Amino acid sequence: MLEVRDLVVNYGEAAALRGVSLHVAAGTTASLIGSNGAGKSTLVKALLGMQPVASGQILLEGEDITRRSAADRPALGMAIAPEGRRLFKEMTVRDNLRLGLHHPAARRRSDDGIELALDLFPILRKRSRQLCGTMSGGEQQMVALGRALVSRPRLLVLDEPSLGLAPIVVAQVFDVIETIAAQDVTVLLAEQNMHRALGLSEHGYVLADGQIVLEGTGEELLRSDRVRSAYLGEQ
Amino acid sequence: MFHASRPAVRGLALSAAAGLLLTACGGVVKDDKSADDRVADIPDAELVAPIAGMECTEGTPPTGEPIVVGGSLSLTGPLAPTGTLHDEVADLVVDWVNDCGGIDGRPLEWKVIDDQSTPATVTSNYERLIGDKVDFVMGPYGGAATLAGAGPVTRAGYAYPTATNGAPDKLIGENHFPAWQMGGVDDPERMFDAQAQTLLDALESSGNPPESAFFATAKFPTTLSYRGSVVAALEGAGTTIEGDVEYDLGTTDFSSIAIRIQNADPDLVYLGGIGADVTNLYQAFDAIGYEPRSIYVSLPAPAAVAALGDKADGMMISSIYEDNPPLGDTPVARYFTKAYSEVAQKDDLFPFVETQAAASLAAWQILLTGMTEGGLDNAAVIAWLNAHEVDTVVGTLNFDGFNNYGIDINRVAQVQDGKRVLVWPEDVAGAELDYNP
Amino acid sequence: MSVSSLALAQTLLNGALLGCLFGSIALGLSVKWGHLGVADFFHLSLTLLGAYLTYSLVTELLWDPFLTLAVTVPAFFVVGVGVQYLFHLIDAQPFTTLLITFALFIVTESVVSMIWSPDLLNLRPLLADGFTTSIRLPDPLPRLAVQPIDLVALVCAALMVGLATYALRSTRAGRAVQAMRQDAAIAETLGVRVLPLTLAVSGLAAATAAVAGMVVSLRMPLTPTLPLQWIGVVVVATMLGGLGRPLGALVAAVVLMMIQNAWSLWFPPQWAPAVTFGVLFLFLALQPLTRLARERITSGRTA
Repeated sequence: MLEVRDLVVNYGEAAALRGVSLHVAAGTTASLIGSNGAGKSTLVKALLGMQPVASGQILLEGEDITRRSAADRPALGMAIAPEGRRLFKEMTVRDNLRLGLHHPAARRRSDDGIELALDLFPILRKRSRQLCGTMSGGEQQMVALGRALVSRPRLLVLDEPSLGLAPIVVAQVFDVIETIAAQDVTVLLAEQNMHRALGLSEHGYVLADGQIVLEGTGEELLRSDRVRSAYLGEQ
Repeated sequence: MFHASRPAVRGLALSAAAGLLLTACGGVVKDDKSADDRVADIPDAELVAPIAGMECTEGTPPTGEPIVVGGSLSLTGPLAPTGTLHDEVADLVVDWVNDCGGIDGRPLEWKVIDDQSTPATVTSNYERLIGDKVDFVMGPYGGAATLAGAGPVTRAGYAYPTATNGAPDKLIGENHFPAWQMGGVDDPERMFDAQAQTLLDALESSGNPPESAFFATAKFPTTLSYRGSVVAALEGAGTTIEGDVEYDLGTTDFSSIAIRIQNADPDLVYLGGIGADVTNLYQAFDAIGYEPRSIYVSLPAPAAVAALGDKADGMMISSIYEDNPPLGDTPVARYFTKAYSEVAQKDDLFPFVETQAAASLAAWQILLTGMTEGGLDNAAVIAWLNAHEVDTVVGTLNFDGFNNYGIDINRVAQVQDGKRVLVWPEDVAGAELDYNP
Repeated sequence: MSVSSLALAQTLLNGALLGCLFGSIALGLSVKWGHLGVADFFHLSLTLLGAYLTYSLVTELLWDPFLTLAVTVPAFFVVGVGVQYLFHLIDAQPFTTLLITFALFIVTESVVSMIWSPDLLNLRPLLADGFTTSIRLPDPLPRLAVQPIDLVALVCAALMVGLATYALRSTRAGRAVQAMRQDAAIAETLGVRVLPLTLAVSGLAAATAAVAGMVVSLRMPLTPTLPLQWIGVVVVATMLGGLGRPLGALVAAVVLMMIQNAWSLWFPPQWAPAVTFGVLFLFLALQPLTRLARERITSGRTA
């Protein structure tokens, strides 16, 4: 489904990604874990065409999309719930969801996408006219997930969906992600919260200093001492 | 990218329909008698010398070192409409003098610098001209600019002829030679009294002086001082002042003032306005369907009055010159009227001679007379002009009173049958004032 | 001075109708400022250019004033696109765009003076009576007079602001414009093509200046310095109405002009423009209070 080959991204002189390669099989969930500054967000941005790539390739179902613009992502069947949610806060829940269907290709694929999202997050149905800026963090995350899901993407990229949320809300968010992952969607989940992320992933990649330092199945990585010591702070 | 939704299309169709509907109830009508035709009607005139003491030797082009006259004018900015007119007259006079063989056989040259309607720039412009050693200077347009230029010009010992100095009460000195003479008194406090008296006399000459008046005046030194004198004169004659408001220079929305006037419905509306104020006031009158019983306007842009068409008929205007006998019926006036109409029309300016263009020519006549009679030297020009009278297109002037204002030449003009004509005082009037509010 | 209620009603009506014209001018400024981040003073110059072009087409080619829109609207759309494309090419920051549009504002005045002369130009004498003769409201209503030209201003303002508001709120493109302003990068990942959309918005905003310019040419005598007289009301209305909210700007312009006019009825008219800025000052001074109140209310609701 998604294949990344030797991806290099530079911020000016500094290298942010130094030859990252990974593979996410269709219908599976892969997590990308690593500490803050490891390069997770850069990789996500590069995947979405928001960050110029110095070298390497991004392939989606064999098609090279490395140089395609960000605005083409919906046509390729990609969607994102970005770090920090980044909702359009001065707009209503419904308008945010509608924007998930802005691209004609997204509408063709999923003309009932908004209903789908509202079914998945019943609370949003009641709040559909509320301005997003006035909602709690957890609710906003629901909208962000909904906005990404309305277009029924083939590849869903979730960037730090639990960041800044209260533990009880984090649990809810992961429950939802688990529901999504159980469907026929390919998910790439970039997370600091390794336990939950690896727990629901078929495969995981550990990113450090712009490189993949470890990979394996979710269970393998959870058991790995190196991962535990490096990223979970457990001795 | 832009998806025109169906309601948007409906909106567009609706607006198009509304447009067509409005078109049906009004459109454009072309004037049958345009200004172009009236310019063509101005009779040809023979080339004569622009001043009394000068010979016109046509066909002998002047030679040698040019005599350079420098000046600062507002060619851009808010004062540009009138500033440009003065530049036009300067060019015309220079060509005129050179067509007549120049001064002492030498060509005259006009060197103008734009002051962008900013008094501070006027000062530096004259410093620059004097630094460039121009032979003479001509004053700028407007009171503030005149005062701003007076410093460097007076210090350098130059004669300072001015066309329309709107601040006559601010002393400049013995080198100041105003063409638009107001006052003719020794007391600077009473500079505008004669002008106010002229208006009062004109109104009384009709036999129907106004019983009530409403004043609306722009915040501009000249208009305010003049308004003060007129209020005093009218009150002295028993007229009730129904209202007296001031508005900012450049105001375009007169709707509240118009309503106040409508409310008072006075015999006389006094508009101490300049430029386009009169157009905007009439626009506001139109909007409420009011017609003033009578109106007097102090310093309107000539094009603004002309553009009012029939509505301007009967309007009284402060003036020092209109194209009517006796002042307009001299060989110099006839030549100037014809020549000015041609150049002004070419440059899209109001093509008929009235106060501004006449004052501009008069200022040049003062300077040229000083140069030919006194000599090509500023001290000699100043000395000669202070001791003599000068015949100009606006009348015979002298420089004896306060600030060198020898007499008061303010007159009252009226629009009659679409044409401006002087109606008071009697010695310059081309018609009688038609006044019955 | 005593003022009849009829005079007050008339003055308020006149103010409201003139406010419609200023609201039409503020429309483009508000949209560009609010949604593209360009405080576009050149928009006022475009309005002036629109007025002069209308004047020339009407006086020289004897076109119907409304027909001139067929030329000016597309032409201004192109100009709007061009200016915005220039900003894109040089990757202009908001302050740079402010400087550029202000420079264009100054230059336009000189250019207009050069082309059309600094003299007063008035279309009114050429207009048929149907345009210029005031109509009185029919009998049960108060005997107020309305100029047909002001009705044109009202219709144009209502149509343009109505369409703009509807388009921004309820069309896909309008939502995309709002989204782009709030977070362009994320909007792009949703398929919003920022550059074409920006160019289109700029072009449409400029096109509204053509319509407002036509109304100006019918409504008032033209001089190159007119924009200097509009700038106070238009900018204050844009800010009071909320950047990017055409309806807010229109309402603010109407209210401002009504206040100005009512003020001039009782107080010295020369202070009327200062009233506009007084209202802005009050608005800015009260803003922290209203924000506090709003936060109280919102927190009360969500708690």
